[in-house]
Amino acid sequence: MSSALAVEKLTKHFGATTALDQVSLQVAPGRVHALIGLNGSGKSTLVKCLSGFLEPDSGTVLSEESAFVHQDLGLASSLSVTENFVLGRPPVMRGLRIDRRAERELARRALAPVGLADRLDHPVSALSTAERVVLAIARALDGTTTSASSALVLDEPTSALPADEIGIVTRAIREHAGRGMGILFITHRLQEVCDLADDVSVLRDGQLVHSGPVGDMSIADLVATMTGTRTRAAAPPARSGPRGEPVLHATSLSGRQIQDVDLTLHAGEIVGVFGMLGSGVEELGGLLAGRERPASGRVDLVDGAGHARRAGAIGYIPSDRPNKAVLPGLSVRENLCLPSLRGLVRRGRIDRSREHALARRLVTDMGVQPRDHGAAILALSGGNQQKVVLGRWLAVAPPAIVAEEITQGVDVPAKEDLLAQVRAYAARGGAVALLALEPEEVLSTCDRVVVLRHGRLVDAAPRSQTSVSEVLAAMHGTGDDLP
Amino acid sequence: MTTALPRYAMLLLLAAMVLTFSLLRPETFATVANVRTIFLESSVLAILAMAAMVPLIAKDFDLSIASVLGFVSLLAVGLPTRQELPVPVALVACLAVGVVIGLVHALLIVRWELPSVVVTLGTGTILTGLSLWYSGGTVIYEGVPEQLTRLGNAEVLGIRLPVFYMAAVALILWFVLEKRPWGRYLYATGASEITARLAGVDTAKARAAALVVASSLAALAGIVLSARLGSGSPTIANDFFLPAFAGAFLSIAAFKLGFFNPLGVICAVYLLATGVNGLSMLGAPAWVEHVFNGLALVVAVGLAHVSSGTARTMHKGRN
Ligand SMILES: Nc1ncnc2c1ncn2[C@@H]1O[C@H](COP(=O)(O)OP(=O)(O)OP(=O)(O)O)[C@@H](O)[C@H]1O
Ligand SMILES: [Mg+2]
Repeated sequence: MSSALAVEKLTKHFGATTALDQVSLQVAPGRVHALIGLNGSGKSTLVKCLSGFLEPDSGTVLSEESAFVHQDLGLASSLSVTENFVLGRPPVMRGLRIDRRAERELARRALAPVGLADRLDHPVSALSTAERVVLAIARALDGTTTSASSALVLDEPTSALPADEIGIVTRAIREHAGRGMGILFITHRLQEVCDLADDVSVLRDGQLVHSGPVGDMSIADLVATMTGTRTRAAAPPARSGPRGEPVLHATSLSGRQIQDVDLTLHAGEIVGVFGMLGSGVEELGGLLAGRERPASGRVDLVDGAGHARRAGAIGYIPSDRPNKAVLPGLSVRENLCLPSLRGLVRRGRIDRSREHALARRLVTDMGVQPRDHGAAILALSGGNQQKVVLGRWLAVAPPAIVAEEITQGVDVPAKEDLLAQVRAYAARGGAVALLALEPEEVLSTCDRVVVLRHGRLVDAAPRSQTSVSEVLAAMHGTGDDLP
Repeated sequence: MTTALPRYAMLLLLAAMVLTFSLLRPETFATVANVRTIFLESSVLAILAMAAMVPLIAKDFDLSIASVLGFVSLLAVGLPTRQELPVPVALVACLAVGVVIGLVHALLIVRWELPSVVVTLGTGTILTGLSLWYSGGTVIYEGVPEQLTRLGNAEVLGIRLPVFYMAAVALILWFVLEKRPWGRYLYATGASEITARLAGVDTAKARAAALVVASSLAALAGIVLSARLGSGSPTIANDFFLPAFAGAFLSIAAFKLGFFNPLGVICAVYLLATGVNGLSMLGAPAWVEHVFNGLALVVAVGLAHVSSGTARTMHKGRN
């Protein structure tokens, strides 16, 4: 049987790094094929070679027609949703001019099922991360003919998506597979592999170590294949010390979506803030961290350090990593040390040896790979960039850190390490707010949980009394509210 | 990581050029007098090119620098002769004009978020008009006090003072850009303003400071120019605009590859000056100068682009 997409003996080096080592892989028509592996194992590189974005050193790519959704989506943020949707396709002409109305109609028809129909004229910059992913997927699917010789390739399409949106995407994937397309998707959510994929391939250090039907492989089996070891230390116990003094007060905070939110962060406490897309959880982070101006209400930092809006008083990790968290063109070290620079000044100048020592320590603590802090940040894989962004703030040890989708793109073992770092920071007296569209990944790290629905805080509960399904129910407004 | 163009390639090119011209024209090019001329003639341009460079780091353009230089050079000779101000007072006033222009730019570009190209094109044009008004359209040269011209022509160790000014500006800029947080903030802002801001950098302050530094350095260049020439001309700014930006842009091809930097500016300005000087000694007609300057700019920036080609693919291929 011919395949929708095939690669043979693909090899790609970046300098001394072997990102892909003789990788051969087939995606069969009508099958959903998951590609998994630890951070830096070569997944994104493989996709870029497939799309022709990178030239492989050797090996061949065989495909008739493929559509791609890259990890960074490729949307023009100043253009509208409609303009982005029609960007890649030939314009619909009416006589000599572009038929805008017909294009809008096209976009409406494709985007209505994913809930974007009423945002056609909004600029993409006004969309949340999740909405952008949905748009990018809809656009990629739109360009393809659904046939047995075509393939759809998605690089971590679901890493920033909430549960209900994942449903939409997975349904679309299933549907296209049902019509005979081959689907290749990268994910760090191993549950998805078990639920959605027919086949799975595993990359480890650039080598294909497994490729075959998912069958009855368990998550543990997948992790073992990814890491190459079966034993893995159990997750560290959730710390639950006494919480300290209040650090940050948000008082009747309102913004575009948020209404009248009161929230207090305490020293030594990790608060999970969960909400569905559109609940305002995407907006709350910037407001809490003082990076956006609220429509009304205020945020106060209570340690005498002054108002939270003072640039940099509170650590902030935005969910839009490529555009808002990473300084492209600069090194890992420069990305890590930026908020710490003032503290590194000795005798009127930034002390080089202190700067390097700090970078070295952070790279080790965060487990950043490769460990060379002089490397360009964009030479790091997505998950490793995320570690740098967190490390940047842990180095400053601000009184509070507000983090959106903190585990996005980070592989399963590294996720535990990353969350352990967050816990350690809280144990040293830091206050943490973890904002997410999906409670599953971070819930066990939280000491307290609040839920946003329609812009309002609906619930607050200590974690020990809350399960993932209870949080989800509260997010959706179904069932009983949290105790 | 491979780089097609080493950090010192431009410096080597400069050396090769000097060597070639020296062999071809040993009696004229390779003389102490000629070397001194090249150094002296280029010092004002180098200061101005550094003025252009500073805001460019944060992706702001200051297109008014040449007009500031022109206006201030008129004031520097006009204030002592026409308004009969003491030279030190006049010079402080000249620098103050630069600072004020920079503050206005900061207000319009940083606070009000207007595009820098448009704003500085506007202020530059206004200053060109003011220069014509102040000078009455003629060159000011009568009664220029010696106190002023000495600043531009006195020698220390056989080297004229403007060369020292240029060196001082370059060293100070190098220090603050490389060793002080402000410089890092500026480069971070150039990489991604929104990211830098979310990471706690006061990008508005960093950009505003860069704009003030640019206008102030342009004013300084204007003072040095008048001090050296002993006169002020309302049209001289035109000769400086393009070479200054050429020097600024070329700096990304030397030392700190892919980034604007002051030592790169110096190297680039001398590369261009040496080329032009040597070619004219070989008897090339005047138009060759423009072709040479333009060609050097495109080739050098192209090379820098290729050499940071690794950086470029990484740029496109995030994650
Ligand atoms: N442009 C580049 N320049 C240099 N090295 C690179 C570049 N892109 C990737 N690499 C390196 O190649 C390896 C594979 O990276 P890749 O981005 O493919 O990983 P990944 O499997 O997608 O990881 P993640 O799950 O974190 O996204 C890593 O070691 C990475 O540092
Ligand atoms: Mg990746």
